[in-house]
Amino acid sequence: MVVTSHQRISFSAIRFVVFFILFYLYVWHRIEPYLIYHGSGMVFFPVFFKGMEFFKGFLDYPGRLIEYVSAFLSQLFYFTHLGSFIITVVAMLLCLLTRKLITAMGGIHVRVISYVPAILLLMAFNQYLNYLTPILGMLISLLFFGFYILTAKSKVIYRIVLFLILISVLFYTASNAYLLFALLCVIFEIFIKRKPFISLLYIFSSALILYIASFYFLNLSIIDSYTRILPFQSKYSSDPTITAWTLYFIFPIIALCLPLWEMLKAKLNKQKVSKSVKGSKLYKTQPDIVISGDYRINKLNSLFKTLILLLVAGFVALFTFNERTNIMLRVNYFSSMEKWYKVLEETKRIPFGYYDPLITHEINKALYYTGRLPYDMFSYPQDVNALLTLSPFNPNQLYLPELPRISDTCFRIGLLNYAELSAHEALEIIGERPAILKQLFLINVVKGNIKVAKVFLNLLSKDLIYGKEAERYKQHLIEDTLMTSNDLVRNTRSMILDTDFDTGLDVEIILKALLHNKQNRMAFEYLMAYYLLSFQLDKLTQNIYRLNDYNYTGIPRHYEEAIIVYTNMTGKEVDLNGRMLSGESVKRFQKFDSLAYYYINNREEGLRILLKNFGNSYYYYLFSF
Amino acid sequence: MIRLYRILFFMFVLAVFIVGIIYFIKRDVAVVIDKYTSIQRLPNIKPDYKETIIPPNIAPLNFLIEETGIHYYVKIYSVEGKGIELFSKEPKVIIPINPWRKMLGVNRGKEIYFDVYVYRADGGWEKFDTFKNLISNEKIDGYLVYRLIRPLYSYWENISIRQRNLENYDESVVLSNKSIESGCVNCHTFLNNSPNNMLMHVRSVPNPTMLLVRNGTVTSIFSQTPFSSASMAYSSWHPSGRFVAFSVNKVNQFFHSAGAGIRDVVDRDSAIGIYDVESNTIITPASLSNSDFLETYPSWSPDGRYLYYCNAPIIWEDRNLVPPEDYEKVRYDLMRISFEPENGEWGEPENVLLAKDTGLSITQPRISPDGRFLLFCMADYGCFAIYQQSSDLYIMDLKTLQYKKLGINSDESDSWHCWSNNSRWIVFSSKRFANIFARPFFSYINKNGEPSKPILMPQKNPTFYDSYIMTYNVPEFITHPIQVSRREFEMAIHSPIKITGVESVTSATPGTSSIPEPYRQK
Repeated sequence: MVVTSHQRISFSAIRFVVFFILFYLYVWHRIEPYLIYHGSGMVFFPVFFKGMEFFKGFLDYPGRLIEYVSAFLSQLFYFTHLGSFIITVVAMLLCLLTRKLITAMGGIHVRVISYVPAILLLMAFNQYLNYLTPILGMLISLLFFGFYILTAKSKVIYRIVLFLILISVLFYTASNAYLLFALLCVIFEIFIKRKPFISLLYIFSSALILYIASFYFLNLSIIDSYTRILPFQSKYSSDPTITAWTLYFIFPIIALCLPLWEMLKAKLNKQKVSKSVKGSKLYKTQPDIVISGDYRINKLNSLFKTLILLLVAGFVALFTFNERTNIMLRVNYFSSMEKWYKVLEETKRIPFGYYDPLITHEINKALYYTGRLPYDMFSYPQDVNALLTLSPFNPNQLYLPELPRISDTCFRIGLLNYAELSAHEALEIIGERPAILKQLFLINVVKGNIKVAKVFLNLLSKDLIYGKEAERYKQHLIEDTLMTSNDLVRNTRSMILDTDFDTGLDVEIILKALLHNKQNRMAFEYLMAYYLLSFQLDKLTQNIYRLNDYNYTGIPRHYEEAIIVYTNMTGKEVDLNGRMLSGESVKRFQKFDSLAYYYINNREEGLRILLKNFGNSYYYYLFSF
Repeated sequence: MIRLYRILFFMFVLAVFIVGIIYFIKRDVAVVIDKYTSIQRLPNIKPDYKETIIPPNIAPLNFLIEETGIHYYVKIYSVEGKGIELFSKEPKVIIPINPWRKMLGVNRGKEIYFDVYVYRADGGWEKFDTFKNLISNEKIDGYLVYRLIRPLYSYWENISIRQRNLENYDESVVLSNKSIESGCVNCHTFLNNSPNNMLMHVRSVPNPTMLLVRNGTVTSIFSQTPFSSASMAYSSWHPSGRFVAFSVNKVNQFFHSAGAGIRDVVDRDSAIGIYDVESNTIITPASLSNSDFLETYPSWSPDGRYLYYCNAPIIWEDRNLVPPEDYEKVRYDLMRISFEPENGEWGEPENVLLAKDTGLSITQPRISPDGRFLLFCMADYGCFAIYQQSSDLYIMDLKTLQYKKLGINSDESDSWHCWSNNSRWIVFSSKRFANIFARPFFSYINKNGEPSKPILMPQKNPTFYDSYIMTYNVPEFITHPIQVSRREFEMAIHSPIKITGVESVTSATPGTSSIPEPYRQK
């Protein structure tokens, strides 16, 4: 069968387009790059500011330029379609450049392997590992390799000169990512051009350049020199995965395996390595007409490869997706956008028995803002330590990536100093992310530290995405220096804790102190939640009178349940301040009590049955402990 | 190959063309001002570099004209030499370095004048009153070394010691914590303002060390001993270069749940020791390491015959509580003790200034190199002036022992001061612009101890500090740059030498075990 190269290219192009349309759609709808943007410490995310001063900071160090470009592109993840587009384009370029590499190394019949790096990239983003910076470094390395092989037919001296020029440029722009370029050139020279002497020269010069520049001029440690912009650096992931290693080494492995495979094949067939493997023309172009058996492409074969490709990609997409991180990121995002109902909806995806303090923390906040905290909090996993999570003060409870959310909760409830402290910790650990700068701006406005607020605002105004919002705030400050007309600022200012507890934190004391402002409903509900979670039912009952301050109709369900339990356990009457317990709660307790008694000798079975019928009650929570 | 060269050539030409276009559009064009209206006041500029004394070797004091206009013209001139004229469509005044340097150089002791003109959109040119500065005869030390950090609370990621050339805007990293397992670096001290002999402390790495530079060579000393299992903290070189007085502090940070200042620091215990550089030993005089007192902030007199320090009684019973009871009642006295360098003999502690007389806590004594003045901080309580909004700078005339509050203080913390080598300039950290960010300010101190209006350390971009969220910690003058490279410091850290002996005198404060740091590494 004769297939023209035109027909072969068409099929290949269709496969390419189809694959990457699906890739784009998957990234857009499943990975949702905006979650990475809003990840606030859970996913590595670089800072970017407009202006020459920020840019100049990237000129004095090799590799910083690529970090600058990556930081810029990463900001566009804010727009999910744009972020998906960027990731897809990067994957496409990886594919195309890998294809070029494969062709150069004599693997014309296995070019479908060129999709592997794209699939690996998908795997990385599936796990919410943001390797954009090292990937861009690799792209440039591959691109420069593409330039290099254009000179394959030139004299040796031209190739050497070009190599040295390209490696210098690459070292400056992408730092040690040039090692990949050097490695590919070495392999090319050894196996394709059969010039081992040149490859030795390349090895020596590339290692020497990096060593001298890093060690003597840049004062970097050896490890830092060789791993600065590589995916297995700890800043990209605390636990570098096999994805990271594979992403980097796939290219030299491909470059090495292809000619070796051809040599092995030739040896097995007892043939000399053909001129075509030596690379006289094979890496350059495909023949216009393919007739020979070795290169016969048949439609079914291509279709089969395409199906395998899609299956593999689908398999990777399905089985490497980090569901838990996705849930956490979505909860974090919806909470930061104050989409409380969405937060609660997300929690339905949480696998049974899976507990994460951040999620619990955000669930409670969402329940409060939807008016359901004292009614439904036990429909969700609970932990007293996750309630307020004043973790900056308690190193045992420190959840670093959650610091911005903790700061947010403290701010809302009136614990302004704790909010400021958490935000500063976040600033130091996560970086100058716009959400953190905005939080610090607002905190300082509420406290009346306008000079400090302006510093954060001025920095925020340089952000690519939040710059306009910052300019609006600047205008607002000109018109109203203390922003008294802003509801959030005004309300928070009225709720600020004014008692200095310098002896460390005590959640109960702090929350009680906040109740000086009878408008602070959040403090009240959190205090009652704290009593429920810490089994201090006596204190809960002593604070029932405060329901009058917040216009509750009746007694919220969980408070009723606690009162009923308390009365049953102690025999004491509780002053309900004119309110009545609902008959339903009493009946429910009676049923619960009799069932619990029934299963008294079979706790495991009892828990299972009680969970089914009473899992959303305080009774069950108490019983399960 | 030829195609490749063509592509590269084309890209090069395109890039040059684009740059040229941008330059043409953005260039400032000089105009002639033949008519203007006089505005009878000084112009508003930021930073406020008006009507003060400036060093003859300072980098250009670039500023922002805070007046509304569409064109700006500034003329800078003095008695001698050619003036500098600057036209701009933007209010930023960027003074070229070489003409500035020349002008200041030939006009030492004379005044320098600034004429500011603004072209309004609705009218013509307006000229403000000329403002002037006096160029002092005495230079400021050429370099400033400081620790650059964000406002830190419990955790740190990015800490570096940097040196800044004050004659231009060059700043370089002396040591970054990124290359020492994210440890903490601090307490950089110099012998007689020279980096040929200096100390820097490195904490919270496997080996807390003291980097000692002697005559340009760096060694690392493992600073934990039976006397001081905590790291050495505030240090002061004896002028002979033989001894270093240092404090060890059981320091704790804690936080206020309400009020303007969140952070606070208390020394639950502290003591002073003397490190003998030549014999690599530590001496602990009893009077400087009393278990019932907090001794800290040692500072040698220029003749090396007195050690000044701060001292407060420990008023709490529970020494493990954080914060301790009545921490806000701790007030330090200023003391001194005589020392015979020839035989190592110590005198008895003498009161210099008592907290009960001032009602305030005295910290950070620093004596001018000519021995005439003593600069110190006073705040409402405690030992950590930078965290105290009430902290102000005071000066004592050592001839008369009279002291006064300097007129250059602000409503926010002013502290961490240092004298220049010629005793005429001081640098201090002030939070006057934003109460969590400390910025370095310079002030000229005349022979009578009178300060000039402080000037903010200049930056090339006059609006630099408006969005800069780093804070300048412990600025120290040095006369020339640190010659030891960052790499040499890093290598030294990983091969420390142990201190060979501790000569403890009775009632030395017992060594503490694993003292919690004020900051913790993530």
